[in-house]
Amino acid sequence: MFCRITKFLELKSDMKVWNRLPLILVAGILGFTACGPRKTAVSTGTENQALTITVGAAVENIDPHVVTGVPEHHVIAALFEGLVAEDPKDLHPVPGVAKSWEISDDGITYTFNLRDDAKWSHGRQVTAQDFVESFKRILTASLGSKYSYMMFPMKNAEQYLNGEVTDWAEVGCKAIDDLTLEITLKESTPYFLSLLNHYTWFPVPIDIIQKHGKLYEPGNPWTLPGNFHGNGAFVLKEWIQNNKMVLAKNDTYWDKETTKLNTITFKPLVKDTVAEAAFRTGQLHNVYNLPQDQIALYKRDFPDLLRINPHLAVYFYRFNTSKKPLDDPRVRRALALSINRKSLIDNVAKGEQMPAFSMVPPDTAGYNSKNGFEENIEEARKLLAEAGYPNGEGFPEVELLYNTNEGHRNIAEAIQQMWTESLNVNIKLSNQEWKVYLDSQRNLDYDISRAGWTGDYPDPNTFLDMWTSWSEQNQTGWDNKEYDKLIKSAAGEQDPEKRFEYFQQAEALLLEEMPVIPIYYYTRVYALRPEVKNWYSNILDHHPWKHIYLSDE
Amino acid sequence: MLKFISTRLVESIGVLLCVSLITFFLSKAIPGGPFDDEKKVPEAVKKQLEAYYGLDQPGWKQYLTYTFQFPNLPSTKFPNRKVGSMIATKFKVSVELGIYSLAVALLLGIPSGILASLRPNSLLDYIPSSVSMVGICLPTFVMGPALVLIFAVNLQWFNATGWEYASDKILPSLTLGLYYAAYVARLTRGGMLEVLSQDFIRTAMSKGASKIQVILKHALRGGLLPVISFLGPAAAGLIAGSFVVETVFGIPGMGQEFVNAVSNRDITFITGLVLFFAALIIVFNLLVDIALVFLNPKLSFKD
Repeated sequence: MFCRITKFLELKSDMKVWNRLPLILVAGILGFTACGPRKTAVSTGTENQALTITVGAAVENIDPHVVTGVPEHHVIAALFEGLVAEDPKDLHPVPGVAKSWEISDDGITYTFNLRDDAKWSHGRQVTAQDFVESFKRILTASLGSKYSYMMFPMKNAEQYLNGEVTDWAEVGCKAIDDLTLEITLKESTPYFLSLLNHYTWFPVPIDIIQKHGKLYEPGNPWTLPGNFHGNGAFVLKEWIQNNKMVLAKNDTYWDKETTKLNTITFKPLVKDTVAEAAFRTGQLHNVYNLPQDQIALYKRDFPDLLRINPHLAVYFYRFNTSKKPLDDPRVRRALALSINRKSLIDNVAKGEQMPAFSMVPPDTAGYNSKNGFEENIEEARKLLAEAGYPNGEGFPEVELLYNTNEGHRNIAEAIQQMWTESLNVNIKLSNQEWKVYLDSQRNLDYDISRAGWTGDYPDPNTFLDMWTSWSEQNQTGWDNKEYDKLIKSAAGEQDPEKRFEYFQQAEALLLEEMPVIPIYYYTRVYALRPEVKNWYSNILDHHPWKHIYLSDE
Repeated sequence: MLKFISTRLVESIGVLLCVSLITFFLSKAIPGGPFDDEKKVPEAVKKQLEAYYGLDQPGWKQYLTYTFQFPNLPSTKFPNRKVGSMIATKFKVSVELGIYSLAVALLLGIPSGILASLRPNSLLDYIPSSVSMVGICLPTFVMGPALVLIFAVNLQWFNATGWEYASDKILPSLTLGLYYAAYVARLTRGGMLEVLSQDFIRTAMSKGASKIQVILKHALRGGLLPVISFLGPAAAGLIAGSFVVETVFGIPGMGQEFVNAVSNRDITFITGLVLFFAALIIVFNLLVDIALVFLNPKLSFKD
């Protein structure tokens, strides 16, 4: 590189010395620091089996009982292992710390047989007591675990957290012996094994946590490098906050033969455009979210780097059903029917998303919605007229709220235009900073509000139980006894077919009343270097790290 | 001089108290709290979290805790870290970036400012002056991505982001430095023009001193005064980090934390950052005032 710079200087040799001073200075620094061909994380990665990736935001913490985010999921999945693990292709549960399990006929009791060679990275065996103690930790209110509700399918878990049950022995988990764990559920939960892959169900090294601070308090430094120990395929080697986190292969892991990577480096690049530039200079093996305006360029110039996968998430608008004019289902339906989703996706969102006419994404654990509706502007106008606003006359101005973000603004503008053109209604756009927006939404201080929901687990329940009258996520003011009953019936149903039938009925009711309108199912649009192997697309965007390796072929 | 410094330090305590009060009230006034999330947190859990961070205490008690004990408090967003150590790690990076950019600003700005002042309204003036005007108008969020696009993505000379290798430090330092260099150049030119038109310069010239000698020995001392006063707050700002440059180049410095801490409603971290930055500005202004007295014979510590 130095040579290139000096040539550049020669071209300008007619300039006087002091004019060239800054250039010489720069050249000097360059020559000093970076002679020879530029080595990058990608160019040296394959040889060293060193993966360098970004997972979007900075990782807040790696205590599975304290964190809530998706970036944290990716890191924790490498550092810990739960009772079951995931198949890299379709994510079906495969043996993890438990080598086998039995499920009672009523679907309530799960007995896990733990393997005897599963070890913590400080050498101690992972036992059934570790799991029981870990479950107790996350369900102890003073720890302040925001995701503790993921444990609620377990018998008395919710009651223990709330203090209604104080005796831990009444909670549905028991270590029969060192290697046998029995979990009793509140009711049959068909998706329970998939749920076990959520980090809230992972074991933590109680002895290590106690060594570094209080067991039941959030601010414990046991997760810092040097202190940390886990039971996953990788261990924490280095963590400089907001700079990088390096994980190294764990030699005490029971399945270390499978692990191929030597290190994984996580880079916290919050801005997608910045990550994309780093990717182009060979500093990263992936771009977590490809910026909207880069998608067309990648399709044209780098199609082998571009990945577009369906994702278990839905983009929708909430209506405030407690306020005129949106308290009228006909108005809500009219608005839902007059959005041209295909055009919105092709011209604005651009990520090959799928138009959504129901809440549950297709093929969620085998569930496909039989319901839906068709876009129809004529019918929308008729509905609006029936509601008392013929040709939009007398329709008060309503506000469309979204959290400040360019992508959401583009979509809101397009929908605003569609509604104005087809229904002649007056829509005002308003954006709020994330937490202000959450606050407005929770207090029903809005008319129409943009929202998105990513499934917590692959089951229709995660998209449907949020619209019950008692759900904290409802936030529309919609309260329907019939709907509540259907969701309750589904929860108590053993027969999977009947259970799905309840969900179908509930969803039909939801789409009849439309407190929310589905817009599209998300896709994950990202870029990935071709060197990264065994990386399969799946709706949860989980990529079990121990299977991944780098190869130039 | 001691008296001067001690008066200023006493004054600054008042300033810091005001800053801390305003920060506290403002961060309480924005809707949403540190534990509000898209998914509702169980009430029992939220209560415990608030108790852990002292958010259930009466307002005055919260204020006193956050203001006087912030280095030892855990961040609400990154609970395994203490605010003090978070500031320390990030400040180290920001100081480094700040010093490099300051060097770029002074090494480019002062010579080109002097150059421009030597023959006012000639080509030698117009070129550096218009270049520096462009520098002022080109904000760092344009300059940074442009440099990345040319030198990192297209020419592949540098990494686009990071703060690991020496070569990573060139583009960000240039981006931030060039912006300040433009100001420094204009201030130097203005200051020099004023001094060069004064009698003592003419006297020195007529005594036969060489032009270079007059400029470097006599004129520069007075001509740089505006630059020095500008440098106080500018240097404090530079070493406290730049949100834009740190974001564009993915640098783990302090600048972006000002914005992130607020979006996270990380009240302990916000208090820590604001107080630290306020103290920094006070110290730098004090240093500048002292330097000005030494450089400008018209000033003294007496009044």
